[in-house]
Amino acid sequence: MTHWILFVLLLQISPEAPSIERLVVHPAQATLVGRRARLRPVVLGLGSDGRWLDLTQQAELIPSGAQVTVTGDGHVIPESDGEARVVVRAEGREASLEISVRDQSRAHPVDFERETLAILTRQGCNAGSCHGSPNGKGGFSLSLFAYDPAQDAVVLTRDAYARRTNVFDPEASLLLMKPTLGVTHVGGRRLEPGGLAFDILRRWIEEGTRPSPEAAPRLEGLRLEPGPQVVRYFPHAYQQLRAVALFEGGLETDVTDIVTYQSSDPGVAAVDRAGFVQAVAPGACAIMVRYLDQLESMHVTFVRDVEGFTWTEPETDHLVDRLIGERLKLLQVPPSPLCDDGTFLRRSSLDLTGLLPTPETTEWYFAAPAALRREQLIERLLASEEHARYWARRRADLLRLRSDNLKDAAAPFADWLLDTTRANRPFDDVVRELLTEDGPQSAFYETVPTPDAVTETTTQLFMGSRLACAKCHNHPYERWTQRDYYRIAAAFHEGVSHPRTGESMVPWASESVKAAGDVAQRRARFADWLTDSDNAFFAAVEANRIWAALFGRGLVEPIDDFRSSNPASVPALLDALAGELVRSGFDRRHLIRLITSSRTYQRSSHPVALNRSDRTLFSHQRARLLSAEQICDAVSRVTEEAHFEEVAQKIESVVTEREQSRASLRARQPEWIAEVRHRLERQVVPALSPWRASEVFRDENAFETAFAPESTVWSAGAEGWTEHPEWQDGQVHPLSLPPQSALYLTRTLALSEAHRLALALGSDDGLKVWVNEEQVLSRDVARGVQPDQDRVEVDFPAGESRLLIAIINRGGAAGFTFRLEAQAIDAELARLVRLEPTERTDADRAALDDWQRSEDPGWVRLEERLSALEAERSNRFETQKLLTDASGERARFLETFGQPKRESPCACERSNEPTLPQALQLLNGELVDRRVRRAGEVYAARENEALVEALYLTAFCRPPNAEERSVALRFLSGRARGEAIEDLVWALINTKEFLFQH
Amino acid sequence: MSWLVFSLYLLASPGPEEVSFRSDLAPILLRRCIGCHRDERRQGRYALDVFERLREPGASGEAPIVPGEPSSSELYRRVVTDDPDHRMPKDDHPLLASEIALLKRWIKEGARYDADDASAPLAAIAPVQAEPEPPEAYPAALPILALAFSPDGRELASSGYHEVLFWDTETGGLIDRVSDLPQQVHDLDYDAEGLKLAVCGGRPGVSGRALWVDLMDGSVSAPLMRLEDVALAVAFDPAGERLAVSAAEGSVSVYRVLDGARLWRQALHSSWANEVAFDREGRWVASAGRDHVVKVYRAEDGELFTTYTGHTQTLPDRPMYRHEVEAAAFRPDGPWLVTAGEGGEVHAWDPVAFKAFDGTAAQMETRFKVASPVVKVSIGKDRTLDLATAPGRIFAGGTSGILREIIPGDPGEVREVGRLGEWIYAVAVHAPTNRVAAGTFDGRIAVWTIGDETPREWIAAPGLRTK
Repeated sequence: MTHWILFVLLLQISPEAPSIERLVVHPAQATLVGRRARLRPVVLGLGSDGRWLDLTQQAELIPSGAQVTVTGDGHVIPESDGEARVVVRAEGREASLEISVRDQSRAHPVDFERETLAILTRQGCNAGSCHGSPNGKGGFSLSLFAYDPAQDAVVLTRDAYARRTNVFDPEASLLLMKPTLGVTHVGGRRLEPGGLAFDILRRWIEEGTRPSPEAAPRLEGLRLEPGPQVVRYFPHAYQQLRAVALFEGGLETDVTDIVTYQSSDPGVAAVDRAGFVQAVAPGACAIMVRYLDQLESMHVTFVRDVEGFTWTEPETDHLVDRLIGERLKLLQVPPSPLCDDGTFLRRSSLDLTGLLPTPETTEWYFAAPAALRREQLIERLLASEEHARYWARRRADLLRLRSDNLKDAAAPFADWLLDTTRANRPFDDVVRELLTEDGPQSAFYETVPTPDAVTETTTQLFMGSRLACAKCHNHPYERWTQRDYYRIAAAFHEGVSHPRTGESMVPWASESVKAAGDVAQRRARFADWLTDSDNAFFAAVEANRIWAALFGRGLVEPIDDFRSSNPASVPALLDALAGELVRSGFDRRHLIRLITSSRTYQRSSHPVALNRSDRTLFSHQRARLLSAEQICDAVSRVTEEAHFEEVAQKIESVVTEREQSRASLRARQPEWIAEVRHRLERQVVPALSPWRASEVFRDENAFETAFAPESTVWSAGAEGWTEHPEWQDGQVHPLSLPPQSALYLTRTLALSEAHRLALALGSDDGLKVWVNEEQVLSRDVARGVQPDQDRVEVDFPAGESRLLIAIINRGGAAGFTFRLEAQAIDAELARLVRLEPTERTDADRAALDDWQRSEDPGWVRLEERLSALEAERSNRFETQKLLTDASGERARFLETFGQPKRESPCACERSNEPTLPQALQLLNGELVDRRVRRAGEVYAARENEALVEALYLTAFCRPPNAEERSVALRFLSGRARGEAIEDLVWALINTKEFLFQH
Repeated sequence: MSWLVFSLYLLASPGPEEVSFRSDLAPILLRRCIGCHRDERRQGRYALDVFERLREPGASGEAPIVPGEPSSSELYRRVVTDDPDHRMPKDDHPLLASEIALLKRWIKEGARYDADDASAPLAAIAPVQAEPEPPEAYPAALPILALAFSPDGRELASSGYHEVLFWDTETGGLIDRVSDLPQQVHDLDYDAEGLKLAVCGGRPGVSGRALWVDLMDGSVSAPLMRLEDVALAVAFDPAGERLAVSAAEGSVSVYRVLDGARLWRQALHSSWANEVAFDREGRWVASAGRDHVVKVYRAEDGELFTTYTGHTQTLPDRPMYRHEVEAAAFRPDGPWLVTAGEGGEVHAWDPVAFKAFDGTAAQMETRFKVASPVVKVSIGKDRTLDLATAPGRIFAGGTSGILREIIPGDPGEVREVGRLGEWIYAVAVHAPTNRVAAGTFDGRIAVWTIGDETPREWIAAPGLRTK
């Protein structure tokens, strides 16, 4: 009865079924090599409605010659050598398939690795929960997914007194009896007697359990048809797949019936052992196909026409909106409307800075022109110190930046991280520097001391690959093999060998062990490979992390688990974002700007009727529980406003002072320009000779030792030293120095009149400087070379002076850099001051202002005070600290809300699960209690109406509505004031609106 | 009451012959049910591996068998129900209609148990199936799992397919074949007089047995026992009065040859008991286990004398290993037991001295620096699969395909007898004629006269056409 009604309804929706316009058969031509070759053609039809559908089941295959026949289940099998054609008929249309048949008169023995083991994998025998587990099952242990064929051959034929195969009576072999339940099998029925899989195993035994021929062509790839993406519509939501193995030398073999299929989301699509994919529900997922060590996946999308679906979004060029829109349109999911301005303010402030906006920002925001305020807000947030700190902090979580493990190295590492984030350094540069250069960031290697740790951490952080599985066996769900794992390990450490074969591993990205060089060279090559714009993982993983930070969910989720079995929910968008990241020179802020400017980001978190069930297509934003640090800071914000106002007032007064200074500097600018012009006229230009380098001197205490040049160079000069005209000032010159050695460099400097000049130097490691026999600098340090590490001012006499420097290497890399500071007035400045006021452009005027200010000690002092105050303001907040310093109640609070301990590179270490202890913390935890009490004190002096207004604006980025206002005012006036304020603040903190980001 | 049951029985039984639990039902239950419903697994807290347990309710609390009432019997309901969550065997094809009919009839007929001992395993009461005839001509070479020289040294017995093959030691010619034996023959042992040849083996995963061949008339004795998996090793005591058998179930049993009575049985290994051996005086029985230990029992009553753990290493701060022990043989010229397996070492030790030293060899040696009574000889990466001893001599063969003579001592000596290039499963030695033999995975038997470099070698497969 119900079926009948449904049928009538369907008829009403689509009064006539679309007709088939065209038939396509995959493949169009094929070669069948060997007697046991088989071919599974896949037949598609194009409907008059423009939709493709799978007609494989109903298609009729008619062979034209005796060379091939067609089996009942639609396979083409060879009979005799020659050429044949198969005509394909379905729905009144026709297509054809050309087949050439070869090698029918030759024996075609079963290939152990390519067939026997493939079958065992396909039947699930060597899966991790069965005989592929480390100890096997029931004493029978196979390598996981057949990663070790040699061992499997031993186990199947020789081990356990050769009990598993019986050449005399193949079907009586334990290997066949168990899975067909001829003998009790705990794993249940795994094989049907007489089926293809059974037949291959039986033949292999009958033929004498032979290993694969040594000279067999290597498998180079796998092709899936009709892939790589298919979209099918209910009620025809199914598709037969075809898998083709691509062997070395161009041989293609249909392996549809011996590969292993798996659906990445069995809630969307089911796939059977024959490669038939059937929809379970509308949606998209990947079908993974494994054959030997190859893994390929096909992306399938199943659509059910949604009644009442209409698309009302405006046409857009915006990358994000266009690609999300295509996906939503295809799956017929309407997006939610945009959120209101207050919600956007709160959302983007939390996403970009971790903090609720300050009252000033809120005021500024609502005062800005409505059409521009969102865009301007993003710019303001991106430029803020808070943004740099918050995002650096998130990265610090993953880099295991902790004072307890890194000790004194933690703070410099954190500073480096903050600096690179603040300067928005190109991400590829940052990672290359992290992995290869000597400096504070080298502490990274202290967090991952073993080859295993560095391999697993680096790949998870920057390639989103969880490689740990491949440590012991080939990765079950990815292409990563055990060899790959140890090759990557060898890129970080010398002497890594394969644990099973003992083979000395060629480092990843290196040609051979011999050519690999030392650890520094290996790491450099790996870093180059990793950060190369062709590396599919690197940009995509970072783009996905940025996306996840803005939506609370990655396009790939979990965000650092990239694998074919876990495809992106909108693959085209992830590709496009990764491309955009590469194209922009790995400019992360560019990507944030791009995403936050999209309608997709700005959508409401309230679903509409037809997108309520969407979790993965971003048709609406999601309400997200604030992170541990965000909640802690948000509580601070609403309870300690007074303190911030105090600091804010100080900041304001400094800003005012700076404005005054700005005005007075501008007033004095003509005088300053005149002064610069005067300097320009009497500018002293020293004449510098090229550097000359001594031989290398070695001593156990190289720094303490005064080697010969320190005394001889003043009289004998640098006769016989090597001249280095190529060493340009201001650049870093690497030196090749053995440990505990010193190299002397000298040059002359000629001046027309006596002058004070500043030398700026950098060195790896120690540094000594003399001018005319007088030592002016001595630095006994171990460091990587950076420009301007040391600065010394020297009064040079008129005439020629000699400069001598010593670079003392303690070990590892060595180098130096040198320049004369302000040795000439910058050419640009010279140009600027020579311009007449009328000739100056806006940019020129701004540049002149900057120049003048940078020379003014008063201005510089003000700037320093301002940044100190801003740091003070920032340091009040947990979201702003790169190194966690929490203890006591604060630490307990943060831990309860899932702050990670920084013990893993996995983003999953941060827990977002709501728990009962969290509720207790908020209701009556120490931290909330103390802060609420404080709020009672600091707000005591505020007038009720203004206080309620301010609290709502701070907590929710919106004023209270009429009802809220009247309830709050009535509440405040009715009781003891301090307590009433406390209760009001407590009530606000305990609202969903406060605890969630919307 | 009994009269009533009897008349119901008369009314209910349509056929002339009553269904036999022993011969009709036990084989079905063994084939289809026992994998999950055996004592060790007890899926659904139900086991039917012995008749006593079959009658006890499982997790459902329902009586499995209500004599006379199939529809009230949970065992029957479970095999006929349409509910896929309840229908047994779970996730598998249902029983055949004919099998279900047998079960139904048996219950209707009163669910009688027609074997003697209700606590005997079903595998032991189910009828014996006759062994098939071995093929006249072998289609392929068969791995040689067992070899034994006759006491006079003239014949060499080897394992065949459902048979034992007898070869002329001098010429390598086939002398005789004795069939009606297990599919895989795992071990062979002549008694001292050369009157009997003990044979054990079975069908892997299905059945196992041990018996002997009377060499006077070629007759085959009744099986000493029936197992659910293969019997792996046999050994006569020096007097030929007792026969020890070890099996994949982890058991070691000793039988009286005179009447086939079992003298004792111990099942102390947690995995296969790969090998069993009597010492030269008939005082001890030793068994080597896949569970990495060697057990020594008093031959008289089977009481465990000591457990040797020298093939494992579990001390902290040291590389941990657990090596399966595949082979064990007493030396005929002293009290020493020689054991070997994985790990590339052959150990020789006196059980009495070892027990005095304490049962934990590796720990004692390393932790307390006590001189060990165990002599260890390293033979490289080989995994030893069989050992043979003669006065003053030890021979070992294994996965490296190399037959070695081990000369114990400190550090001991290893001499290569020859290389066969395939796994060696079986080694036998005959001291009086100075001969040693080895059998390989690819079906070859090689016999050396000790001291000679080249063995006599042949493929032990009657009628095999060689390419």
